[in-house]
Amino acid sequence: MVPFFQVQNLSHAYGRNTPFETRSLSAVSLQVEREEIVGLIGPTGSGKSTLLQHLCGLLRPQGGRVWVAGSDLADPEIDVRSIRQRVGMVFQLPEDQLFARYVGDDVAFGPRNQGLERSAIRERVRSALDAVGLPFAAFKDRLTLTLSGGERRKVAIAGVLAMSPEALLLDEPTAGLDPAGRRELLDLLKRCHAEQGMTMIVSSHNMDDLAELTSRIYVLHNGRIALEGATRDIFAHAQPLRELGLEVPAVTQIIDTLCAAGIPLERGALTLEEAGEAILRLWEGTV
Amino acid sequence: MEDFEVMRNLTFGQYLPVESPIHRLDPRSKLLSTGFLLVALIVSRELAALLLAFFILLGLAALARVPVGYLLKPLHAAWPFILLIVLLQLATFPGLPEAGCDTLWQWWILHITTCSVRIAALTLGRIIVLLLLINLLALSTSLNEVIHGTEHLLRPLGRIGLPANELALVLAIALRFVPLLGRETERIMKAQAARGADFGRGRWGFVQRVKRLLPLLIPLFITSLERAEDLAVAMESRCYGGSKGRSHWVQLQANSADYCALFLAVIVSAILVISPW
Amino acid sequence: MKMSTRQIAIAGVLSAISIFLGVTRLGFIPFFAGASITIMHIPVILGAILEGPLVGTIIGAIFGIFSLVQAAIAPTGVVDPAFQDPLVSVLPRLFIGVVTWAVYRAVRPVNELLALALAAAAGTLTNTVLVLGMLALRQYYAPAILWTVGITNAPFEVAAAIIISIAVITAWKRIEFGRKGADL
Repeated sequence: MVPFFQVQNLSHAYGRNTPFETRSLSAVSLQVEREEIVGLIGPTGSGKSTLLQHLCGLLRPQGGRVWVAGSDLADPEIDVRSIRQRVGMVFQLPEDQLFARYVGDDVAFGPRNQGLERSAIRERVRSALDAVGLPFAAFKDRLTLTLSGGERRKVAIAGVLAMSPEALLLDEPTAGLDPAGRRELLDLLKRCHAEQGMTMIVSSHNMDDLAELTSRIYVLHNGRIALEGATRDIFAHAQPLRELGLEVPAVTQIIDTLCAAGIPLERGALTLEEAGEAILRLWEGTV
Repeated sequence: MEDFEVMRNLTFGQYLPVESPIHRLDPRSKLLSTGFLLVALIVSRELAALLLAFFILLGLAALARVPVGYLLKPLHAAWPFILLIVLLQLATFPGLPEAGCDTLWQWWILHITTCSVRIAALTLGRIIVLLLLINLLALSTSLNEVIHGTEHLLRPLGRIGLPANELALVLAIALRFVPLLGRETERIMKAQAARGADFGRGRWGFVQRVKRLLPLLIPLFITSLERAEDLAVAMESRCYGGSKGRSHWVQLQANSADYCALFLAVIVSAILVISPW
Repeated sequence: MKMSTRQIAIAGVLSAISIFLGVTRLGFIPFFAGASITIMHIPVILGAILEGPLVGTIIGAIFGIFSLVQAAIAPTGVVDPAFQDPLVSVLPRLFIGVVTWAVYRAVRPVNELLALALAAAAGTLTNTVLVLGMLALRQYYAPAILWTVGITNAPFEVAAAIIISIAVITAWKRIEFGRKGADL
């Protein structure tokens, strides 16, 4: 099976041929299979956003190769717009990109650019708004600027979902959301994955999000892949992550602290549920 | 593929951080001197005076340890435009024979007269000296210095009722905000492009092309206005209440070098203004 | 003249946009044969409509000063050498705010949308007419040349200013017009 995303030796620099040239990626290689959810972590400036922007066809590889669903992005013949339609990207603070007066029109922007028919556009907008939890009938005619921050973010995400992408790239999706908003977003992403088999790459500083969503993680540092592996394995070793300025999920930290204090808990829990089960097993073992 | 590197072009103001007597001057004296010279240059009508100013500025540039290539770089870009203006002036501003202008050459509607030669030469001189002057200021004064210098200079105006401190604050806010706008715009451009926007490249009618810029321009203006409102609240919650009674963090100290520079500027300005007589 | 904190912040931010549009190529919309119209004066118009003539004038002053400095440091346009002259680059821009605000206030009781359109048009024309006028007065270009440029340029600049100003202000002030709802 051809991986959905394949990156080989990718390198990139901003401001090439100016005195301010900065290398952002060096010899990065990775791959993501269809229907996988992969996490991307790294300190600020490690190149995560740059990498994601390559994968949705916004940046052309300067060095190295990038394949998206089998298409080589270095090929000048390829239709970049089709890549952008197949791979949706949700940027940081996506609510900043809203520009249409009415919610429905903003969500319809993507489908309209795809040249769809009016009835198809309406359907796409309807399913996208319903998917993010903003019922179509109630929200399509609302003035965009009268929505709350959380609602605006949902509209922005709906705008990306309305293009019916096969894959979704997300850059800090839960940044700035309150716990309820974060929970809704995580559940939405899990639904998209379960119901539509969407391939996803999530770049985040929030280790708890990644622990819940992803099966594999790549760790970026200074534009290079520093670590890679299954989520459980990556988070099992806090020390290498801490040296890179990163952390492990809160739950993992708690278990690690308890173990360090001498309590013989099993390690490796990533979520609250798993931690609860580990504690219960210990409890039942001692009773 | 489009080029989204907005930040690439965002290095306006070409400050060159070098140690030199000119760099060390108080920004107020530099700004004032530039101001005097600017005004004088606008009204100057004597080629010899312009030549004098030109050489003095070159001397100051040497004093400022600015490589000549750097100083003249804009000239390298501007010379076709300058040539165009000057040639057009030569040929289309003949001046009237009654005013003592002898025609030197004529073809169809184009005349070259002694007057047009004079205008063209003066304009050429003025443009080049202005270019030197402004670039010298930009190369030797950092943006921070410009802000503080302007704020200090405008202070006396505050006493006669003009919103001087507010103006300086506006300038400071504006300059701090520009790099933010760069990053923001890049992000918005990419986000809209990811949704299939094409910002009016190519074959559209003019009105369509403007409309296709709206997904970029509207978010830019709206998020900026929202930030401005937040900024105002932040300022007020830190007890900003207008300029009355505000103290200043940066105190500028003028010394003899500054007064010398100012004196020199006034002299040269006077020469530029008075010399036609 | 008192300025509220809000006015200071909005003036600063809109001035920044004007500078930003001028420094990057975003401020230039090509319209044919390599010529382009500019939109750097639109923040001045918006500032005047939203916060009054003082704010508009301040933004105009900053816009003018920066076009002067840009013309000297990084010239890219044919008129740039002439823009080093503050009488051409700064003085005309000081009037955009007042004219825009006056027209807006005068027409507003009749119809808000019309007021926005006419104010944007008036502000743009003030910019074009006064700048071209100063270029002629200071003898940088012959009046005939400036006339031609003005006549070809002005309609497009006015159109762009109206479209953008109405789009931004109606969004910001939550003004609805025409269709009341999404076009779906």
